[in-house]
Amino acid sequence: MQTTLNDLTVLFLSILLEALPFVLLGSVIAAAIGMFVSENLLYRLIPKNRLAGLVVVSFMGIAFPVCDCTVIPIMRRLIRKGLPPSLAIAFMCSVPIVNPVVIASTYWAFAGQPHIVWLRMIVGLSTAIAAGFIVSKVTRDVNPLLDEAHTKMPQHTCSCGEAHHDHAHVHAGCACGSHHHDSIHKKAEETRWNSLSNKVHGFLAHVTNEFIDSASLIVIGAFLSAAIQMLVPRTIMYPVAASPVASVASMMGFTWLISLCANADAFVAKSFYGLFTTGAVIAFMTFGQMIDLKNTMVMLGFFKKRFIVTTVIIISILCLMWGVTINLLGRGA
Amino acid sequence: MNFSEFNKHARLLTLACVCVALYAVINSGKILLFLHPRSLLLIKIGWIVLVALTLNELKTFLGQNSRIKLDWRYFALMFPILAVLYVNPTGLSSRIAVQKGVSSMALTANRNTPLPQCLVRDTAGPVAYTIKDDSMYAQLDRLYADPVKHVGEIITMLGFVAPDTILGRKSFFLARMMVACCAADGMPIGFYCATDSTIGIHENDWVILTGKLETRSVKFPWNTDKKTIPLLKMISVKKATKPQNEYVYPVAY
Repeated sequence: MQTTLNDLTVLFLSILLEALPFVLLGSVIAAAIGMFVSENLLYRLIPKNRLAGLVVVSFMGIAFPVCDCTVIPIMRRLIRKGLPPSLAIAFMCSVPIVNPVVIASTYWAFAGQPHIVWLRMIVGLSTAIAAGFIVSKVTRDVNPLLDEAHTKMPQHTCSCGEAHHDHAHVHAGCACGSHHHDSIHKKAEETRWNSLSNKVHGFLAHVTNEFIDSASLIVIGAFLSAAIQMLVPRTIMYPVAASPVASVASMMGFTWLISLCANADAFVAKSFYGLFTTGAVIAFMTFGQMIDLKNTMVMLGFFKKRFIVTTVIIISILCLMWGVTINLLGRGA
Repeated sequence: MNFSEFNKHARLLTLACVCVALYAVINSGKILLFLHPRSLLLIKIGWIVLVALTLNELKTFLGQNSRIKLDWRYFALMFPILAVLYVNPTGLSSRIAVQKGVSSMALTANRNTPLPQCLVRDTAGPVAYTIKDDSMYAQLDRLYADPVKHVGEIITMLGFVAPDTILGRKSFFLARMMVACCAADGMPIGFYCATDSTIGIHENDWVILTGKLETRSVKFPWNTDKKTIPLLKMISVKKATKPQNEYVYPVAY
């Protein structure tokens, strides 16, 4: 019993500690977007054409050395700022896969097999673009945010810890990234935001809110993931390792459950390479970074269930199709 | 103290506890039980940010108009701290090695892994060397890829004893956990070991083992054909203390 508790604690804390700096980074970026990025700027940056927008957003990951723990708070904040959810989905899917750190770790883990690196990038980018496109058609980019309570809160209970008017209207530009009444803003700006110190205080208060929102959900996801690692032996998947379809599906399920970091999953994937089909290994490295148990828990705290289910189904189907296609093409070759 | 006062206390207290606990884990060196050393810098930066957030929260705490809604999130953040205090973790056991599959190296070895400058010849004559911690993964990967080429070599390795269910009685797996990023992605690497006699070592024991490399053709339960794997025929074994850093890493740091 003591050994079990010890192992569970080590696994749980390791997932959590590994995620911690990235959750903080995500919180800082999300708070900065909330305070400093206006809706107008976002509209100017993103191409009007939906497909072009999806491509641009997906390739942004190359310049973002962050992992999946960072992405969801940023995604929530971008949607709040008016980014269409379909573009946010493409961003969420691509960033943890095509960033330079992940590419380097994949290259090292699969030394001498550069095709694995290329396959991972191609599958990641194409799935991100396709998922964003399908989400836009299926959900018609309806606002999926759960946290509309921010604008409905009674006086003095805003989640940023500051006092705001309870009669909130939609209005862009609040330093906290929320929507508040115009006249209240002017008064507030005169009284509260008149010094650098207050601005820093406000910014850090928002970082704290983002952090507490995300980290508390990640605690739950990390614990569940650690418990599953304790309970489910890898060997139960081995009988389907050679099947072109079942191997992909089983590896997708496994990677969702164990919630690995994008920077490390290539080394774990390597331990399956040669035993499982190539398509299954690629699906393991792409699907698990787009969506996993830990991130699903965070999403459940931020987005409507219908949106999450739709997104997960679309990403799952796309990754499964890619994995099976790679297996069938490989077999043909 | 009324309820809103308690809420303010809870928020500040939660952040302060997270800061103190994280500092204690970093300062005691226990952080290496959980993370790859390269993550240390990131976690220290994270701690500094957390301290800044806590100090900032102190300002909110002292403010007159601030009220913070108390909810389950504060308790969720306290949960890991309570877990550390209650369990006092000491690293992964051999049970996890078995759970993660000690046979994975045998099944997936890669001939293309570049071999580092790591072969340390201990004696003249037959090839004898020690598997070093900082290049263990690359070295084992090469050995597993072409075990026949290395038959007869005398190999010494430090590791812990994990039970083996493949080769049967009088065998075990000499393992180290290889961590690429954190303990959760750790994978057991090492050798199947065979001995002629029952020996006084037990599961989870740390040992320095010297053995002669042989090969054995093994049919794993989930494979249809047999696979040739390297095996250490034990020459000597002695108990060792657990190293300060019990993990090995795929890339030298």
